[in-house]
Amino acid sequence: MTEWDLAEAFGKADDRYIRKTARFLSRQPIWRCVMKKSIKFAVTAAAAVLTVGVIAVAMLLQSGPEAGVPAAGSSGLSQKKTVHVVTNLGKNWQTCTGIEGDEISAQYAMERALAYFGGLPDGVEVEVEVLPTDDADLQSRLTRIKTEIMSGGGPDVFVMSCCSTWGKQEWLFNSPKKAMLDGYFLPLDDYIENAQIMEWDKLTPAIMEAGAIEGRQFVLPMFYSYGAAKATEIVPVEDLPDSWEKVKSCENEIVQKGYGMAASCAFYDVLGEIVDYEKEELTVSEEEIYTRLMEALSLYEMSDSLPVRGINMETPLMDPDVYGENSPFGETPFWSVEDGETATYFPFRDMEGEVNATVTAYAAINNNTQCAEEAFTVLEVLLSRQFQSGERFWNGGTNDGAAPVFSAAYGVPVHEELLQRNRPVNYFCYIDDDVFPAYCALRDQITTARFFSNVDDTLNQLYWNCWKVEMSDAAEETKDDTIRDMVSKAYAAISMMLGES
Amino acid sequence: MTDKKIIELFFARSQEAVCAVKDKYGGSLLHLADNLLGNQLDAEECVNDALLTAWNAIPPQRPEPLGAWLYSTVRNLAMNRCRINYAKKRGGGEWTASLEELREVASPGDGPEQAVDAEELAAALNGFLRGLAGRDRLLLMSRYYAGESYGSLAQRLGMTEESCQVRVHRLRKKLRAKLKKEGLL
Repeated sequence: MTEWDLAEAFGKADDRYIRKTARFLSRQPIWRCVMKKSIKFAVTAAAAVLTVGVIAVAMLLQSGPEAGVPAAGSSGLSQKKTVHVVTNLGKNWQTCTGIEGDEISAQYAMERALAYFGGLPDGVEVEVEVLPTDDADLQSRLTRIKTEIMSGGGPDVFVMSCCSTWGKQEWLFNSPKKAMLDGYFLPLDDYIENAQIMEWDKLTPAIMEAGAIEGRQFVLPMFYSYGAAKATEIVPVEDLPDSWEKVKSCENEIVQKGYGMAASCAFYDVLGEIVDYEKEELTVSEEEIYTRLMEALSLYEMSDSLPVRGINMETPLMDPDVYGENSPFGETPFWSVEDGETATYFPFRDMEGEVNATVTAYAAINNNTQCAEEAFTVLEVLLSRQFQSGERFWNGGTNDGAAPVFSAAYGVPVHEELLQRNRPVNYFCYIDDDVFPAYCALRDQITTARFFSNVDDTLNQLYWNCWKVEMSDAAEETKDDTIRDMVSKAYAAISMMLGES
Repeated sequence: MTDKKIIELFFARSQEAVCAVKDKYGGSLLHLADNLLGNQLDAEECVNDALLTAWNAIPPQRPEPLGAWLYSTVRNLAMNRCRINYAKKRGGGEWTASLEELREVASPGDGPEQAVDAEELAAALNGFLRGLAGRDRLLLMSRYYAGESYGSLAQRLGMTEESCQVRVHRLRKKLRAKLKKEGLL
């Protein structure tokens, strides 16, 4: 038999399977689900924005230049004060036109969101710059922005994704933590104390701490993810290990399988934070990475069969349109339990026993800004429950267009009042009432959070590359040599990243 | 427009039938052909050939369901072209990669020249697919029927690309075991 015989056999699959496959492939990928629905709205909105734009330009030309202080990020062409927001959440701002990285959409969403909360003071405008997704364009844009920042200017507000879910791209700040230490961001404590819109006490404290150094808040995490496992049976609490170290000796196989699954979703969480950014050095040895990697791979091999599942940053929530009752999978979402089914959710602990979370998107203010108060208003809106819901709240919450930020694809929001049936994210993502207490209990066990960085990305790539070696037909000795070599190269690459952050 | 209405148009020899098929199925057929051939122009040509096949075949045929029949027609046409491209090692995009993976299952080492009864193999494969969970079946069909890339599957399923690869790898291993058990390998 050849591969062609088998390929031909797939062509003779049951009609039902062909139909379902065709239907599945004709659907939009998950992150585009909402976008599609907005096309009708898009035409109207884009036209409206263009009209408003034309009128605004005409009015500006008629009224002539006004006195005002140019913002750090403003182009200087207009004397009106402008809060310049830069974001790489291009794919997430498809509110109007459905075009990737489209600035009209981002601008529209930001203006409407600000207006809903009373807007910026008179004479202050917001301008959103969406970074391109094309590598060459992105490179030149980042160089320009970095140069502006170094010379005392640059955008006023940064709204950044730092996860590589949809493909690795260069970030403006490879490590936000390092950027905080280097003084790129404005300290926010005084503003937070006087916040009008943002409900600071409702934002998950363990996650918000990722944006602070020695008690001073520089960055506001917006979305995050964390590792966890679900077993569709009761696991006694005493069986849950208090650190990764104890997993090996754990006698409950389900727990070991759960850890194997969770580690496959986020290997970097086995190690936790491995960089001391102040000293610019790694806190783990190459040998330790190798040891943990081999442990994670062997646990993953155990987890071939259900009933365990892991969770990762792409699937913190399941789109019920894809995974729900009417989906082609008929699979129970991670955060649901079927009637008559039992489930145990348990956290993923690292070597020190910490439960790590990774921030996937954040907002911060440029330390060079000339309009700090207005910039903070933008941050307040971004952290508001309404904005975090990812819904077009300024329009009465109707779902005739898409969300300002498609947050579910990038992690869970830091606002703790979301994700319930009556307060979903993106209109349809919520956690079943039965499971919500378990979700909260798991969230409350998070002890540390850090920004997802290129170091984490490298560790994850290392894990999967080594998995491929493990799965190959090579001799065991050769496999081990290859894996050791890969670990060594990854370690060297990470060490070099520290100097570049 | 419903499939029934489209078939009626074919039977009435109305050219609207072709337009209706294009409207309803054109996008997904082109996507399939593009996956298999890795070339937009070839893919468009392949879909046009399929439409011509439909025009010539209906009537007397009355395919039901129409969508699956069209899908299979495009796949067969694309496969014929793929064979030529594959033999000449002329790319073929994601499909070539998926074929290489199937080689792991078919295992030429077990007897590449050994003839296999196509119907028997199809029946075994269908039996295997029937026993899978919905998501696993979609993963296999999307990858080996439609040549979908892991990147695209990952986005559609909300999984990581690596998780998709792992899952499919395991399914291939299971398929190989089943075919071996049934004496087809």
